[in-house]
Amino acid sequence: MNEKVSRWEEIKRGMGPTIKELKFTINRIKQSPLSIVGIVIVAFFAAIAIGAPFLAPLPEGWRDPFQVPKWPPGSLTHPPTPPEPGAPFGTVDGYNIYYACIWGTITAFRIGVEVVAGTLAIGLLFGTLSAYYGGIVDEILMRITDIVMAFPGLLLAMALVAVLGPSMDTVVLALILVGWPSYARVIRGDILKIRQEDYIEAAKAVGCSDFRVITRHILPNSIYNVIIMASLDIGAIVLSAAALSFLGLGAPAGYADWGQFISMSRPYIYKNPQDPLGYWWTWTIPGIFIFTFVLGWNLLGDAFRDILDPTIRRR
Amino acid sequence: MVDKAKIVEVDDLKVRFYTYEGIVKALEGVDVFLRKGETLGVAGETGCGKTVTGLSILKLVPPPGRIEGGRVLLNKDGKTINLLEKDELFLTKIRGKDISMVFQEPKAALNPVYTVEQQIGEVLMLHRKAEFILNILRQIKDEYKKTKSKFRRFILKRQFGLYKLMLKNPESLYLKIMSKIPIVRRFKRRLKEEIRKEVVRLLKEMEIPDPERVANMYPHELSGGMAQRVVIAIALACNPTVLIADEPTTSLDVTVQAQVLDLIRRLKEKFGSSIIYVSHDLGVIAELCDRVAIMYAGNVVELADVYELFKNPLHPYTRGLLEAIPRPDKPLKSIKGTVPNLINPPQGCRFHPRCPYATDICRKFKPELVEVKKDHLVACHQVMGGE
Repeated sequence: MNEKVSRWEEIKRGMGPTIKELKFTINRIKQSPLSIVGIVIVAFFAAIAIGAPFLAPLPEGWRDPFQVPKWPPGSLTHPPTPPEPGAPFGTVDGYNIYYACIWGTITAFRIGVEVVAGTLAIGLLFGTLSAYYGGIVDEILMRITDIVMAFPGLLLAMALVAVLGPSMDTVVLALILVGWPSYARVIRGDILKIRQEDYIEAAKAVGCSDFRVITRHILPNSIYNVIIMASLDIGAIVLSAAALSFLGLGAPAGYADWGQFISMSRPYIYKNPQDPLGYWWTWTIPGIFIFTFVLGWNLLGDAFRDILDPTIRRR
Repeated sequence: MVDKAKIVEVDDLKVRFYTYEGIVKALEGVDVFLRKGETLGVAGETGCGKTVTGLSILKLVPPPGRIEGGRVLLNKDGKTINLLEKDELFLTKIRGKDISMVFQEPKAALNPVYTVEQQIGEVLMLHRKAEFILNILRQIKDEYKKTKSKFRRFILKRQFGLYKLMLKNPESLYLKIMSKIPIVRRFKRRLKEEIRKEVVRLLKEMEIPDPERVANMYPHELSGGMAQRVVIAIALACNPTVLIADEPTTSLDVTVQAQVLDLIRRLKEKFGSSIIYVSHDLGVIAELCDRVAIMYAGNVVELADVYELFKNPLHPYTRGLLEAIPRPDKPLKSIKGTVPNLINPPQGCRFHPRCPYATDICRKFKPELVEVKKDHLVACHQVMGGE
């Protein structure tokens, strides 16, 4: 009994600083209602993504869940049909919009997370090396960055996708290759600032190797801006991917992707002079999904800034 | 008097900073040495190269600075090592262990994202890990003898193996994997506890009240004096033979300053470190140091015993500095002119434009640091000519 108490005390003491920080973080979140909205929205989409197989079950004998089934089953291309039971968001070109929106959430998360992880990795590597070592290393890496940056991003991505052949993977790859320079730039600037600090000098004076100084002392102090950028970008990248899909360079026809469904409804934005918004469901519903998703990530990005940035955190 | 062993010797050190305006000749042949167990004060005006000298000893001159010449000799276990010739890997083992540094701004010298425990723990992990592991191995052995439970014995055996591996090959992949697996990684707790104990002991040594609580604090929660004690604790964590203190009390208020000085003096006796104390405050130096080096524009101009220097200053610059200490009964004097621009320093003796005794020889030739009396070195043509 006695030993148990002491062990519990030990754990409590060891966790002390972590719990204190966690409480502080939760308090900070509570203070800004917008960040709660952001968290709720992103959590809502995450729930949709996880629950997709139950929310929009696959039709019998359907193999690829990301291939949107037709409604009514087996129908050929015909004018959009309005919302009805079975296809609650209506159809476009015979595809079931409800199914596309639900499974499209997974696609959106996948694109956002994969692209951001890729850009973050390349950007961090380039930015960190060039800022920490400076001199000729900095010169070479930053000129490479400048070259990539000099191209208009979306055009370069389009060219890459066109060359590599349109598919979801090439879209992700193209967006990574286009997106990393801004991360490299931002992280480089932050590290240049932190590198001057006394505690970096102190860390070196204590016998830390370069690798340790970078990973343990510089990055934890300079990564906040990039993390915030990344969370904002997860939303923005979904927009870029939607733009590519809209231009017909994204996923193959019928792939569950919000951007593609907006692209598909292009001919139906205007129905006829008597009833101009007759096919409203074709473009508004995927549009609302994209809009809310991006909004959620933007609000979450602000929340991250409040929580993580040590210069704002303690105010 | 027997010449006690020189523990650090700086010999003809030259440091240049390559800036846009030109090459700043920050140090131009600095010669200074530190004997075992003594405190050497380094004094001079702002920008005369005191801090750069301290950083050069650790080979940590920040870019665009570069060490262009000279030697920094460290006497380690009876062997003399030239630190400037060694590579980074060797130096990381010296820094913090044999030579450590206390910085001017204690709050800036602590990383804002780590607690006090983590920061002191880092140094301990870098240099004293083996010691802790040996301790833990002994503990495990004791516990093994006491317990009867088979399960407990099995776990202790595993832990013993892991710690032994850690001692033999700390970079082992197996160990890295094991310390990532939940539950299994609990074996690391022993190490954490050991480190925590040592951190608390060190904080107590620094006369910090309630060390258990302070160990969990972040730097922004500490007061200036407290933060400086933590910085000193980091510097002394591995019992360094040489401690370089770069104006450790400048940013503190007077009462805290007195406490910290007191602490440094007591710790010096306890740990037996030799100290290089950089300061522009001659009062503090008089109080704390055994010998004093006066620097001017990147040169050591006078090096003497503290009593000798204050009683019998020989270099005109030293005299000027001593007269510039405010006293209630005398009007305040200052040295005329300013520290020269080190991109284009004056020819000959760098002090001659401000020196009241300057003659032609001072304008043309640079004086060497010469021993004019026992243990009293000075670099001045006038002194050498006069005596």
